[in-house]
Amino acid sequence: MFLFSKVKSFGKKKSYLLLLFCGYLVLFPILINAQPSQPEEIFQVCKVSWLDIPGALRCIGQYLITLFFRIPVFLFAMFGILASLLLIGIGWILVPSIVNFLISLSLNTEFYNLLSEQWGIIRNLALSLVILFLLIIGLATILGRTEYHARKTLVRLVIIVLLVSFSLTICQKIIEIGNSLTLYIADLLKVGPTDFFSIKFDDKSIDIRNIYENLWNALVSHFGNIANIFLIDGDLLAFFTEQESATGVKGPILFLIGLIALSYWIFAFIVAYVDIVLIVFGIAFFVRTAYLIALIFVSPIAFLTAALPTQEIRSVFPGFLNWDNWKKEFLEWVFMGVPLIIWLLIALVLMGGIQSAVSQLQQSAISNQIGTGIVAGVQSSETNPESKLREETNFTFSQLITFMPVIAAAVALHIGVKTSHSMIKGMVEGITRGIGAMVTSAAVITGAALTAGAGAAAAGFAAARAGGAGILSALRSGLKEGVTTFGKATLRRGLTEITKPIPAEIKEAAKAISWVRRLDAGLISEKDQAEKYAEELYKAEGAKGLEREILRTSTPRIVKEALLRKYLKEEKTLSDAIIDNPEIQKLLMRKENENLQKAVLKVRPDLAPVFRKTLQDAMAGMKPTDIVKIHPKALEKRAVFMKLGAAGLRAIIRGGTEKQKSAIRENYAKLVETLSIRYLGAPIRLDYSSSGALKNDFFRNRRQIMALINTLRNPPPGLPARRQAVLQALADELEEIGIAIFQRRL
Amino acid sequence: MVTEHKKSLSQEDIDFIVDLVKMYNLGPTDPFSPEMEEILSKAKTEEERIEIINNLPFNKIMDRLKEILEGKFSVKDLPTLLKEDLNISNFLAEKIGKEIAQNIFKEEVPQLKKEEEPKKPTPPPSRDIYREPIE
Repeated sequence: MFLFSKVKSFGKKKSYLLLLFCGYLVLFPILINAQPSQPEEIFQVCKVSWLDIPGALRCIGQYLITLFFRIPVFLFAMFGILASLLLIGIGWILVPSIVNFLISLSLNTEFYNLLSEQWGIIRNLALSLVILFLLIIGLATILGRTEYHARKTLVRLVIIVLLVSFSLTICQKIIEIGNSLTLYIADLLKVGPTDFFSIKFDDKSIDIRNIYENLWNALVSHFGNIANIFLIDGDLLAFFTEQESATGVKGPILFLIGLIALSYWIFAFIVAYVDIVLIVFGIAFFVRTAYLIALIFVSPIAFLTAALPTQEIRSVFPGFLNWDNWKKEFLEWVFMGVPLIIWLLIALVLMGGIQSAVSQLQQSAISNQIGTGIVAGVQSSETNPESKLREETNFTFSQLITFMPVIAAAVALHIGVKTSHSMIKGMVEGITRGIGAMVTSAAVITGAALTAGAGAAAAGFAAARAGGAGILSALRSGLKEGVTTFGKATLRRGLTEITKPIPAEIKEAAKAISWVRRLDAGLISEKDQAEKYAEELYKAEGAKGLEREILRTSTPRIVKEALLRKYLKEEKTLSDAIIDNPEIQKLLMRKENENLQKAVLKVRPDLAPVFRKTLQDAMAGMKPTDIVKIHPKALEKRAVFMKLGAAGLRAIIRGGTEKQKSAIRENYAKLVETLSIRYLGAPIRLDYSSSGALKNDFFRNRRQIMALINTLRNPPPGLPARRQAVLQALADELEEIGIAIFQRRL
Repeated sequence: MVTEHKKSLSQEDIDFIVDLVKMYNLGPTDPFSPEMEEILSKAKTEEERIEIINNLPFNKIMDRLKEILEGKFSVKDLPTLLKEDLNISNFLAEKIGKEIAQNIFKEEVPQLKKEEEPKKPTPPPSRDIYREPIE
């Protein structure tokens, strides 16, 4: 509090301002380490000449604006780093040990001996079914059904009944063969029997945990680059557009810092992918164990059905209970370990092989040829800001070389798991889609973070303006330019492409959340999508929803146009709030929106000058049915009123609303007053506050009004014919309205 | 009682009244017509002119219709009111009232009571010369 009050009192003393200014003059060159009269950088964020105070202020101001974007992007990047750390930790410590345990469990035959008691219950059930089978054979033989004939089936049944009693032993032996074969293949490369993730290959030891070590090293080396989110150029124009800044950085910088933030999330997703593939690999073995247990349990019944392989028996004992299906499933699960362990070996061999190849590549001349953008990109000592920036943006791609062993091993495991049982394959595909959706979401969130920055910037300006901060008015144009160019940037188009892989079900469900819907609308870049969005919004919220989104500043132009078309189609006209909005008026000036503009001019011909048209053009060809639709706001304008003509007025008098009639009354009274001054030399003042008041005043001034009409019809000689025609038309209008007032129609 | 559906006169209703006034030659409906000018030329003051305009048959009918719409009178009272306001015969008041009621209010109006003719005094019975007084 003390410090705060001191600072406050310091700010009030203007003499300190002079001192500060002098301090600036003395210290500024030192701060920026500049040589006199040579433009220099301020922490790489902009370039100004020595003592160029306005330039420095502008530079700092522009940088402060960009902070609204940089801070959310930085937070987003930090979350990416945290997610990467968490996933590396989980993968390094937990995943290999858990997966090892699951594989060992699945390959342990002793485990199945524990099931004999439970298996015995099912066996007894199967044996009791033998009586039923005998009965079926007896009846079928009497009925002459050849496929059940006792001669063919009875011997078979007796043999099967004997086999039922030994089904557990038979299954155990087959599983043992499968497990032994799996372990034999693993042993070929010294895998296991307890650690399946470490092999001896070519006298080298390869451990799958190296994947995490590689990922960790890459993350550590890339961590420092997060500072670039704040340190890259603050030039406002280069920040939003493709222009080059004074420090030589080519924009749009906003897009580039977004990529930097995204790179941390790509890290996270690579780690997540590796984690998940390994876990799924372990789960595949775990599921194998579970399935084999289930198949051993039902084996007595499945064996029994082998005695009578008929259609009827298949219907009574379907699926795993039937010998045909059981046999296929059992063998598939038993020997599933063999291809899986082969793919694990392939993964480990690939990892070891590619790792050494990459090391050689990094040390060899080839790496230099690939250039600073790839392998050497992270370690570059280049000081040129642009090339440094390019290195940053290429970082994600440069890491592909470093990640190659990791990705190759993970992909090998992925393929291995996919070639296993169809159920596991489906599971892997589901998880892969999930990861894809998560990557997409991260990209969308990057966009959202940038949008949030734009929103924060706008809010900041609004607050500053409310506080009367006049200095910010100079920056307003900068912000406007920034937001406009941001809207024009290709980011939205890119994000739309990225969101396409998100499953339609997720998209639909997410649309129930209003901000997701808005975000979704913000990413629309195609006309069809915009039309669809307008259709859905109208169904959900009606015209009010359309109006709200039309007036929302953040709604993309293409969406606004679609919403406007939908609004016009459904409501036949546009609301006052929409028509009077300057942004919408600007939008309607586009050539593509000529139809929308015409529709607006039909109800608001007074806006003709806004669209650079004449009132004559706007009202040309208007029929009485069109005139009745003219908005009262437009009728209040004298020019529009005078263009209506007697027929137009008659149409409004007969079919118009009370507001339209009120506008006519007002204009009539004012016109009578103006014309009477000009042509009669004395004003006729009519009270137009209500219909009754105007009627009374009209009765009182009827004679003068009649005189005025006669004067207009017989103007002084020498007037041009065009002027005479105008006066004639005015006389007709005054007469028309006069009669309407007398007859109480107005 | 006035029909509950009608709250104000439509443009078509006003058209009908204008035509009716013209058809029965009740007075002017155009404030700028020579007929109106002729009527108003009799007035000497501004107030008189306004009074004349307000008492024009068209305005009188419109006033009464407004009162009926406001519920002050019933459509059934219309012939009587018109007869008093416009100083017209029963027959004409009934005819106009009936037309307005049918076309504007979609109602029927009862006939006005026929004007009672003064009863002729019954002559005193003449003396029966053929009748002999009873004595």
